[in-house]
Amino acid sequence: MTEKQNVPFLEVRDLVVHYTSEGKEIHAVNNVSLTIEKGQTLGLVGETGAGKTTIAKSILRILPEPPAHVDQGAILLEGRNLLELPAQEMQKIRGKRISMIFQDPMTALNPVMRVGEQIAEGVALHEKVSRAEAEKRAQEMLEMVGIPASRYRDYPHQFSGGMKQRVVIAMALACSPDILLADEPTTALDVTIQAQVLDIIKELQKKLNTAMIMITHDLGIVAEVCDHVAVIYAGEVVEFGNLEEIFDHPAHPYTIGLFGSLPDINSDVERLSPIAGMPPDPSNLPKGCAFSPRCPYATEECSRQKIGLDKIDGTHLCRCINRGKEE
Amino acid sequence: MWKYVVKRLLWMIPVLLGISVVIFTIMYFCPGDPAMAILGNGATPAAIEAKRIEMGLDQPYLVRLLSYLNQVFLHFDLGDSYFQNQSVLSGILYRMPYTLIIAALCMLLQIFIGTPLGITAATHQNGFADRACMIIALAGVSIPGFWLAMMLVLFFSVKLGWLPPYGVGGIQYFILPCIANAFAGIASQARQTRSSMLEVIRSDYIVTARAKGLSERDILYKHALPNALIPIITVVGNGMGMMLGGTVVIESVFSIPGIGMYTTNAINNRDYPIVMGGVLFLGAVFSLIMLLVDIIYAYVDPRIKAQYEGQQKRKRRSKNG
Repeated sequence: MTEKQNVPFLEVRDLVVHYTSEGKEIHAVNNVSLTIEKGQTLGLVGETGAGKTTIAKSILRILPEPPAHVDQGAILLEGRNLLELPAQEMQKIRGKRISMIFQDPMTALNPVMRVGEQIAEGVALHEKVSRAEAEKRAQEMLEMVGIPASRYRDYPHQFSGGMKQRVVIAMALACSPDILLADEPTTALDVTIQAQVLDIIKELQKKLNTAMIMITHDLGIVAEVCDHVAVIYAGEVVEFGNLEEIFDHPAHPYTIGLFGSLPDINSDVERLSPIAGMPPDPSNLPKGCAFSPRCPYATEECSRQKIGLDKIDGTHLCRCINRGKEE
Repeated sequence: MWKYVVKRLLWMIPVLLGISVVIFTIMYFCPGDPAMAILGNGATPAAIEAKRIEMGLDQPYLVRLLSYLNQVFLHFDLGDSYFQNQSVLSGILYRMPYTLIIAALCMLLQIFIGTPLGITAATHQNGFADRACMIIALAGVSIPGFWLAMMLVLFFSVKLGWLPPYGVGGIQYFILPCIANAFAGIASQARQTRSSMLEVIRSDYIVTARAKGLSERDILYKHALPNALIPIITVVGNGMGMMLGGTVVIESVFSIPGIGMYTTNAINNRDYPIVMGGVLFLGAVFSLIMLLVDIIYAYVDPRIKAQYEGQQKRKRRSKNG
């Protein structure tokens, strides 16, 4: 599927991650493979608990181990497997080549450290510059996300939620990373602030030519910022494609269900049609297709064995054996 | 901030007033007659009665209380000892250095041994180091100070003869009392540091710090420890109070002429002015330490500082509005 002629910029290959909780194995990520090229944005879409954040944290290797454990797979940055790097090498990559914007700005900042210093800290570490230069760079970053540089010496509690998220963004982008992992960067924010924050991220991404993985459950955000979309269900990619393929020709029943549960301003329907049932228990996944218990098109065959990810056309992949039969 | 400190200092006045009323009342209702204690068992009832009148002990409770408060708070005079020809204040000032040296040394032991133990335990959670630290801590909180003191004397002084068993002099006289007195503090310090660090280590901002590429060492000392400090400082403050109380026992065991010994002897002799003066003095020291702890909070956590300053701003605003 990927460009065979050269190595993809970042490739996640066959990643399997599980958590251990009270003796039970929780299968958070099951055989996920993804690729992303420089400057592109890949959307990871799925319900809460589908394993999106776990994928992002495995890329940075900041999963709490234990309880988390990466069982197999490789994460290749320009062909180099990050999972096998020694801890010190990995520290040089974190924050410099790959950085992350966290979901909850309220808790992502150290409450007893000045916000400017929290930004400058990473700069001083990776760019090998003097304190004064790091401070200057941090002030520029603050200005870039729309916070006056004079607030460098303020503490997080003096900022609103939206401003804190902008500080988190400034922190993530301070060393001009090659890849930005944005983990639901707008979920904890007001709707009015969401658009601002997205604009900031998009603008900075363009300016710095950063590749981005945008984790979200909001299809509106996907439509706005992403080039490619991977739909994640129960720790698996169930559908992958570019924006048109996913939005205009959704193929997997789960993706179709996601669109069905969105309110549409143009059509006049009495009720939304949510996906029936609950996501499967990740400690006890169904044997075949994980979505089959909730799927309106499921047949006996679906629960018999694992379903492969098939190519539809172009870059469009789908993990469903009944595709096309449902109509 | 300064306004806050001044306000807290002024608050100490009612606190000390309260302490003196309570201690005076307790002493008033205590059985035993100072006049009889001074004159001895052989004294005639008439002589005792005369002594009582001379000392003002025949006056009613309220009159005696008010005259005591007047003497202490308006003339800064804690009275004179019944038996020793000395004012209570000079007696306290003479003995204060011993008590403060022991308390300060214990404090240092608690901070510089307890905190690293707790950090080690937290960073090796459920590992061998954690278990070992926590067993030491458990022993520390369970063993009474006076018992440990006697065991230490038995071993290091009587058996090995390395350290003096009692009295005062050079630094070697302070080693055993400080270890005995500080052990419980070290233990609670280690336990508090551990639980506080464990809580902080799981915070989101620690993940943020890790995602920034910081080394584990920097994460621990630049991000985790400063955030874990608040409960740790609280324990230090409480520990200081415990130490002051503990010195009363430890000074008796090791015959150190500090405030504790001074007060316990006075209790036995019914030398009331010393008892009241000693309690008042310890109360004042304790209040000052608590104030110090609160001020340190403000420098450790900017949110608390904002709160202190916020209170004043709010009041000013409500006054204007």
